[in-house]
Amino acid sequence: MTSPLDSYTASMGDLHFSDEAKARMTEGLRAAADAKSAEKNARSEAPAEVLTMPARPPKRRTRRWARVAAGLALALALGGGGTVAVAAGVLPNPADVLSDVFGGAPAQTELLNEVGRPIGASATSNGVTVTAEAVAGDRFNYAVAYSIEFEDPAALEGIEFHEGGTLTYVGDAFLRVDGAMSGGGLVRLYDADPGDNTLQLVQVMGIHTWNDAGIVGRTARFSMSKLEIFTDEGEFKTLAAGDWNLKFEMNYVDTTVDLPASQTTTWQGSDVTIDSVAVSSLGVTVDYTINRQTRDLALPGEVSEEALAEQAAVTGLPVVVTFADGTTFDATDANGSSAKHSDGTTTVSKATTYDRIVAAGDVVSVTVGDVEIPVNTA
Amino acid sequence: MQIPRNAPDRDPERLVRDYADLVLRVCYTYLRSTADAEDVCQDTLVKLICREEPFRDLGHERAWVIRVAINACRNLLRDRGAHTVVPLADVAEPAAAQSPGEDALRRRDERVLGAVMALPLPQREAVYLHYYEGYPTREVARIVGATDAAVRQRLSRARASLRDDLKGDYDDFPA
Repeated sequence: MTSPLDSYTASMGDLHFSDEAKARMTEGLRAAADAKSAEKNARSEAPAEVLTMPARPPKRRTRRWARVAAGLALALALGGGGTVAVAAGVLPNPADVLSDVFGGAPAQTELLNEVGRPIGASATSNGVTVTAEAVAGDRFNYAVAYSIEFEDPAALEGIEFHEGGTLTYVGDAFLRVDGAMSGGGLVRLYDADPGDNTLQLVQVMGIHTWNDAGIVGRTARFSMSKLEIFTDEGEFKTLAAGDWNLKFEMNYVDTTVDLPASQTTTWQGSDVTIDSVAVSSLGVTVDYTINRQTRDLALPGEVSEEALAEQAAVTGLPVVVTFADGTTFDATDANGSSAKHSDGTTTVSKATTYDRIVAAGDVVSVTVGDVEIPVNTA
Repeated sequence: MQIPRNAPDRDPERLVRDYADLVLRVCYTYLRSTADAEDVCQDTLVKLICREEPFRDLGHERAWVIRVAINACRNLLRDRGAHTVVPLADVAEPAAAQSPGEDALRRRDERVLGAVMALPLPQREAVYLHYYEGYPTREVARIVGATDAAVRQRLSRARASLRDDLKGDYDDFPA
């Protein structure tokens, strides 16, 4: 499904002058340029100002894709696969992308197995270059990794990093995907390699579209005006301020795996049917129906212990994800919604991203209540 | 005058290639017509060629073109008090030959375009600049002379209107 705004942009894209009209305008402009030049010459004996300058070719930046990917633990079977271009069309002119990406076409995103790699999605402001390096995602979430490169080799000196090279990110980096709404997620800022002048920023966000269509192939627009951290001394420190805008295609392979469902269990004495479970490299979603409903015990703003207990008896069904290294992620308190039905049951939906990004194959199982559902991605 | 390193050239052919269709879309968005687009485009690009100050880069130049074209359209609206509506099909280039099934998609696109064009001007310009030109809301705010919050509100209202107007229109179309 496409959104109305896609239709709108397609219609607007179809609108153009005829070649004849463009030729007329070009001639008119040439005449205006000549007149302007003649006027200048007449005003001054000095040589006329040169109005036409050759555009400088953009600097090709060395990609640090491999290191960024490794730093992110985006170990999504990167080895062995060839690069597959999935987007239609030709590569955009680098000048269009690097000089001002908002003025040109979105940077094309190539796929390296499941992970998308935007080509030329980069913006520089005040000596700091932000580049979208990798895109991963599933049906409900996306993750984008950026590199933030400082021209000043001393820019990162004196910064106190936490364990693992992390920093407490404070800033206004914002990514919007056309025709979709984002909400709930995390942003990580860290230094994958202390030996260079580059930081890594990762955004993981939940996303939904108004018609439940996926976001693969849509245009993502990143903007940021400052990069700040919160220091251990309790102060805000600005690492960079400027104006970074870039856009790229959200191309990735949806790593969502739908697990077998319809199992039954009980929770606090109520019958539960697991309706659906899906996992991916980024997060987990669980839908279930419980034969119980909460009573409307609380007035707005007043939530009693009794009401909380009632709520937990419906929405508190434990959900735990187990990874290949033996660690777990507790998704019990995930973002959720519930709906009461006339038959006395309640359907509950839980969805959340993990606190890490993993290979899809590294999710071992999802345990819903006391039902362990193994994940087989093969 | 120091010319910025990334200052774009002012070759007439490039300017028409890069901006003529953009100005046409601005005209259509503001005037609901493209009848005056060629004049607006010519005036806008002549102003660009005659401008003394260089642009910092292509993005700066592009935003300037949009702003000048918008001002020209606003002046036209003010001068007229009212304006003639010309259907898009009457002024746009003929579409390429369509394969079977494209007719339905095209009709749907026209319904959507009609719904967008029926929005009040502040919402219409916000939708155009944000969704078509790709400017973040704070840039849209700068271009149209509004606050970021106002632009976000206009977009939100526009989306709500479109959702109402086009309800059910998207159920029978595959991705």
